[in-house]
Amino acid sequence: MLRQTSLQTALLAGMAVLLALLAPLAVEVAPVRAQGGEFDLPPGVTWDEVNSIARRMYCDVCEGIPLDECESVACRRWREEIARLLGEGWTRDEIMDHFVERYGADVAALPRSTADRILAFATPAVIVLIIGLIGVLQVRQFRRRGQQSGEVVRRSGSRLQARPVPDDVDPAYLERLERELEGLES
Amino acid sequence: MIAEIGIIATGLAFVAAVYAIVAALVGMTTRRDALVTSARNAAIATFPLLTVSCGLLVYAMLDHDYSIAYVWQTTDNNTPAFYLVTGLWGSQAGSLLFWSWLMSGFAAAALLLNWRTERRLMPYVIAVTMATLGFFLILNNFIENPFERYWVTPETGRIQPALFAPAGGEVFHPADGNGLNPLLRHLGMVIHPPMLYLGFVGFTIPFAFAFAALATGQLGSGWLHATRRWALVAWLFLSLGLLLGGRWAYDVLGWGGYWGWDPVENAALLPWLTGTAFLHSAVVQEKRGMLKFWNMLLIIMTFLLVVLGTFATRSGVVSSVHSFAESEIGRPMFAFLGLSMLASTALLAWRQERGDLRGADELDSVFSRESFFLLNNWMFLGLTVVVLWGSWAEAITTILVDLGLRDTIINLGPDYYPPVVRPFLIGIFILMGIAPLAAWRRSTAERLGRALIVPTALAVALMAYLVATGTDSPWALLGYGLVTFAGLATLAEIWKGMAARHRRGENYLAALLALVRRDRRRYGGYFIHLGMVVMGIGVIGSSGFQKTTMQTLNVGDRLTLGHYELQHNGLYEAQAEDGRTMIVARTAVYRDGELVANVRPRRDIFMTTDPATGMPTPGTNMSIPGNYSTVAEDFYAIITHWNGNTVTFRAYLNPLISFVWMGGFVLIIGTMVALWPSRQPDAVTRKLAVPSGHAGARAGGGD
Amino acid sequence: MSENELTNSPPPQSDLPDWLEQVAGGQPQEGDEPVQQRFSAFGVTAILIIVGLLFVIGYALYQRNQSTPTEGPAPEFSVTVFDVEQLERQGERLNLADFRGNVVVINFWASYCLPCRDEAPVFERVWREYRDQGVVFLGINTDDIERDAMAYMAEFDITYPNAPDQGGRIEDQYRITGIPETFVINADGEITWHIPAPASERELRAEIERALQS
Repeated sequence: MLRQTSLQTALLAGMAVLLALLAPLAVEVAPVRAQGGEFDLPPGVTWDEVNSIARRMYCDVCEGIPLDECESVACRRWREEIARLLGEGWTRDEIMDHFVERYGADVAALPRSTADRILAFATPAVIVLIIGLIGVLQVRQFRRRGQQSGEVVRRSGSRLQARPVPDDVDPAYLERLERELEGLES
Repeated sequence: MIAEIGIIATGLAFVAAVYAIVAALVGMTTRRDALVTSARNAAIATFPLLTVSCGLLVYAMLDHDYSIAYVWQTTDNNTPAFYLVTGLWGSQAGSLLFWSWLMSGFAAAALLLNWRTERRLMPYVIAVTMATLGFFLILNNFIENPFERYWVTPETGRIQPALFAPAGGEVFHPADGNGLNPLLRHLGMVIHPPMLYLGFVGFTIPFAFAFAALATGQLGSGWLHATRRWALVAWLFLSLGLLLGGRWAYDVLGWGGYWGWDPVENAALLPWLTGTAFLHSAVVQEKRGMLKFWNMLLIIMTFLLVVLGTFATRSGVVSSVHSFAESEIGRPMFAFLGLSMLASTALLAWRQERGDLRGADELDSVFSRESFFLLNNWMFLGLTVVVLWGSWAEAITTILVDLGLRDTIINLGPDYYPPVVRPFLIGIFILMGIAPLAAWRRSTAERLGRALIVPTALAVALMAYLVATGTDSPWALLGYGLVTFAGLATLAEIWKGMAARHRRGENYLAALLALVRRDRRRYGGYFIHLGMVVMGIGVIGSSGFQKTTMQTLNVGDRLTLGHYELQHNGLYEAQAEDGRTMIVARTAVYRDGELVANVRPRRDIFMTTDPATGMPTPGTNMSIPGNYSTVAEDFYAIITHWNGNTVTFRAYLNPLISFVWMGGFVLIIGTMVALWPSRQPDAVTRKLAVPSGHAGARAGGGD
Repeated sequence: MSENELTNSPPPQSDLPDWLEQVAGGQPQEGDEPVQQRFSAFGVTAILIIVGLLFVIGYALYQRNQSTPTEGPAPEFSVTVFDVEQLERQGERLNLADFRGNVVVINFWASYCLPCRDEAPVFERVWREYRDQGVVFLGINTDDIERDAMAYMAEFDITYPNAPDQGGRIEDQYRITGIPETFVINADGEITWHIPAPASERELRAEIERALQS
């Protein structure tokens, strides 16, 4: 954790004063160096803590960018607010709930309420289970057909007639044959 | 002059495409061969016509002809020649024209190469490829025409973009252009879209053949054999596009990762998933005549996902970093998507209903190779479903909210995907290991088990070793174990072949080369699998064990991340040739206390002119990382914020990320091996070749 | 080796070229099993899924394409004014419907938005002038941190009611594409003017006058 020493605080304060004095000059020149006002992390709060929350959120202003990566001024302000709330002792859940309440549900990368979260994960799970069931049924159907050896398998419209490998060849022998062939081929 | 010819060429291409569709279908139903041939010629003619269009647009860019709106939008006087050429796909209208050009080229090639061997399918292949091309040409001609020019009406002095001169208007020639979005002025960003387009367009060809097969009833393996290489080529480009996108994002965008599960990234991933399933499933149809319905379904899904992905990317319906500006193409694309979905599904359902797609759909054993391939299809299908839901959940729940059935929408971000994707990846890697060891038709659990003992044992040993050395994440352990298992099983297969040849006196290296030469498809496939294994190691390491920290440093301060330290040694400003301002941090990277590198993370600021004041103001702001890369891990730092000489750095430690790139490289090599045409047919095929007509011709190209 | 190399084309049974024969729906082969018609469960499910998907996608597209309302009835909403002393109606809950019969000016802003800062003094000035005529000014603060918003309002000495867009609903209802954006609503609750950019004083006054007269 980065702790602000008193020396650093004094240094920053001095720089702030200096910047304020130079402000009129800054108006003429395109402000490349400064990136807005300086922000001090509250004591005991690290950017890593802020980011661990921010990465679970989206910035409403920039589309599709997680809050910890977004570079817009609005996003920076939001991260600073998270830092401030952390400094006041808010928990991660409280902070995220507060943001969702203030800015809407699409600010959170995952639904906040447990019910919604269950729904979000359950829906694909249910779909996949249904598909899986169909899959199991299909495998069983194929297996059943395969066990009826000797019967002509129905085909219509296709012109397949012969199977590439006769039924009565021992598969182990066939495998060895393939290997030997590989060895012989040049 | 340029614009006029361009408009005419693009318009003619559209006419040719429409004619080709009509002539092909009429010629087929009225049994007039000549008409179908003329349809083919019209279809092929679209390629030179569109070459002219694209060529003219590129020429206009090189010539700095800013009267053409597209040239103004994507270039300026300072743009280097390389970006003038690649600006062709720099923005919406041009990239759509580029797409059409690629589509026409692929269609022409497909028609010419298969004209004699797949004549029965040709009318529908022409119709489908030209219908797809025709749709894009509608966009190119009527909605996003890159040859729109700026016109000024002398009375009002108003400047407007239009295709044809408004009343009293004259062509307006701006002195300078707008310039390309700075984010796109990078080699990776230049290559990434064409690779994806090639992949997308490439998959249209197998789809056209599949559609033709369904329509004509030629449901054997003819269509599959004709388009197998196309599908693999398309898959190669799609894989390249995805890999390059990830690499570019990692190198240049500065968020420490290469895949964000962004809806547009997913849009490119989805057809890759079904395409991969298709490539595998097609093998089963060729070898055993089964899974015909699956193959049809998979290639249709791939095509539809390509259209859906293009639609989602360009219409703005999903919120994403890749969002294009508002455009008019949303509605026509939706119409095309709807028509394709309904037409192909109806056709497939009809054939399925008639029983035409039955084939030899039977399994002799659950442990046979075809059984595993079938399972593989289900795995990829499941994966596709969960990723689709992730991208579209917000849209679906928005409807529910608007209908009053719900209070809030559900938005699914990157945290949703890993847990839902894992089960399928586990299944897929298990299958990757065991399927090549299983025999066709009959196999027993014991035989399979015996073949798998060594790879399994070694994988378990590795897991034990990892636990002993401190890896504590159970998912990572399982992942490493599975990936190793799959890799070792593949290596065992390769080894068996080499050993068989070695027994006959050949040395191992020559044996390997001979094996690869003899069966490129199989060994190319093994290399691709090995590439995926290596990538898997990289993905598990870099996503499961990534460390990150963000700290504000003054000059001389250090931050610590893992066993690395980053020392801030100063900040300076520099001007680059293309006018961008660079804020560069001089930093030193220490590992275990020793200096290992000096890296320079920086910020590139592109100045633009403020329209209100006319003063230069900062525009786009890019974050370029400083990266210390070794095989074992990457130490990666970016500047988040700076004030005077105080800089806030964000540092990432990405273990094993180099494996992702290496694995990708192996994957590409493997695909090229699989694609390489064999010079002579194998002895077996030669013997069995029936020496008549086209069957003989096809035997001559066997591999 | 593929099956097709083992099976040849069937012996031609008519004058037509082979491929046309097949394509034209050719004669069934000898020995083929009769085609069985089955009800396709896949077909029905697939069509249902597709129709569902198309509906979702179409709706999303429709939503996206809907542009900001520039005329017609103004969407209803309620807000709670910032609890700050200098603001009129501080802390009160206001509904747009309450102001039926007055001209309402709605301005969307945020503290980090630079053009908003340019127009802020304009709005305050015009508000003070038209207050007596019953014109209501309402500032909606979007995607902003409360303290920054308070600081902004203090800086520009703003006294007309301003409220946060709780839950982000109002900005969705009015489909704003950026900030600042301003809407003028007449006494009948209809939108008479919309500008997706900073409003100049001249324009603002003109549009308020126009709304007062309609």
